[in-house]
Amino acid sequence: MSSNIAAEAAARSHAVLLVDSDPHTSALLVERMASRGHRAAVVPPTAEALRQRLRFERFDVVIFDFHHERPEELDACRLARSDSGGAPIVVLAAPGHATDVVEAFRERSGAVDEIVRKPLAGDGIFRLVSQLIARVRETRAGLYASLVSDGGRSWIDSGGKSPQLSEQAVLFTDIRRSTELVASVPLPEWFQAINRALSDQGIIVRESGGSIVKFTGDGLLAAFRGRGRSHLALRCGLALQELDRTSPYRDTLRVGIGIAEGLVMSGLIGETGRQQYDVIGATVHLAARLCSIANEGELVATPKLVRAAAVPQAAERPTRSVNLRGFPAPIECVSF
Amino acid sequence: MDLETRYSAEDISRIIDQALVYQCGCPAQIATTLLELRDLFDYQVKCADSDDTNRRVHEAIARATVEAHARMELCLDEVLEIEGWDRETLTMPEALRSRPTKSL
Repeated sequence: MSSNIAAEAAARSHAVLLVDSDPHTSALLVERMASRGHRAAVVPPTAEALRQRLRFERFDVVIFDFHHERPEELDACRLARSDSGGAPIVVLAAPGHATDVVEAFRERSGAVDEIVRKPLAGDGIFRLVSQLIARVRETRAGLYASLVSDGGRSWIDSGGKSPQLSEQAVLFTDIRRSTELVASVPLPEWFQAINRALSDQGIIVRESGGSIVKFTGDGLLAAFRGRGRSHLALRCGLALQELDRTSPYRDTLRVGIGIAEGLVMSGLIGETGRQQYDVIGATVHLAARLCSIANEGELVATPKLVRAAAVPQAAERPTRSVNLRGFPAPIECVSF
Repeated sequence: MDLETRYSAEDISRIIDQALVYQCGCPAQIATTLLELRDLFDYQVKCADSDDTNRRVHEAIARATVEAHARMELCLDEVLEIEGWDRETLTMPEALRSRPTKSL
């Protein structure tokens, strides 16, 4: 068997957890699954046995064989739902009364994805299992994709080259007084508030032609490339400032913004096998430091970027000199 | 016209439960057919309630369904007897449970 054929076969082979209290029917199911190249493990429908099995193993699908005279066993589906890592749950039930019992349980518990009528005929069960697994994998792929930043996606789309040096405008945002706030607001509420604020900021960054390199906990790092990058970055910063002034959460969440422009290196950073896209360089540090000195609702940028940006709001803006940690000499900056 | 049943819905579920796949479950196939005939009978009763329905059509369906259902219940009796099921508990005999299934 060539390695390609072997890989395809492995991709079609599913790990199936059969929950069944009857050794005869479970043996039949194992036989059916094995006949199609699937790996099946059997566990009785008890909380202890299921927990034990699901503690260390992951399955693509859970198939529960329902016996109508033991309706209490259906509770095992609830445990499978909570402990199986999102695997779809299929219940096999005899038509009529047994199916009615399972339907009612599905309504009550939400712990059943599909009900398949017994006796099993043809390939229906295999097709269904494959469809359910494909649906779960699609959902997971979407979640994985959401973990990758704009910059990371661009990097992948460009063929994943080695680290690159380029001129970029770098913009940081950061929520002011976040240490104080996080100690006084319930964490779930804080989580929700941060996500709302970062979602709003993300929209503005993209509308301004930038890309989000990463979220930094209570802020973000965005980069602007190409001609007009300074203009786009400053316009983005001013729009973020407007958001800060007008957002419905302005009474609690206020941001500071820092922007600098210069040479940065972009690429993947991290350990072998698990890396994230990032940008590094003195420009990035400078933008971060400018952001850290910005007051609530303030935007601080370098004069070089402001001049290159040529936006009307920048005319006649005075420069000031500030001492920034890590920089040996005072740095000129412009505040908005 | 009424549909008389000697096997309850629970009896039929029990038979089907033990014969998970068609290849090893002749009684389950008969039991499934009985359920379908009961569904058909219930359907024609509901449908016959509407005013503009042809009464003779429904009488024909009901008569045929009752006859077929009675015949299939007798058939189930025979099959369970031949296969040696426990008629009290409707349990499949051990010899059948351990018989290897046909290649699918």
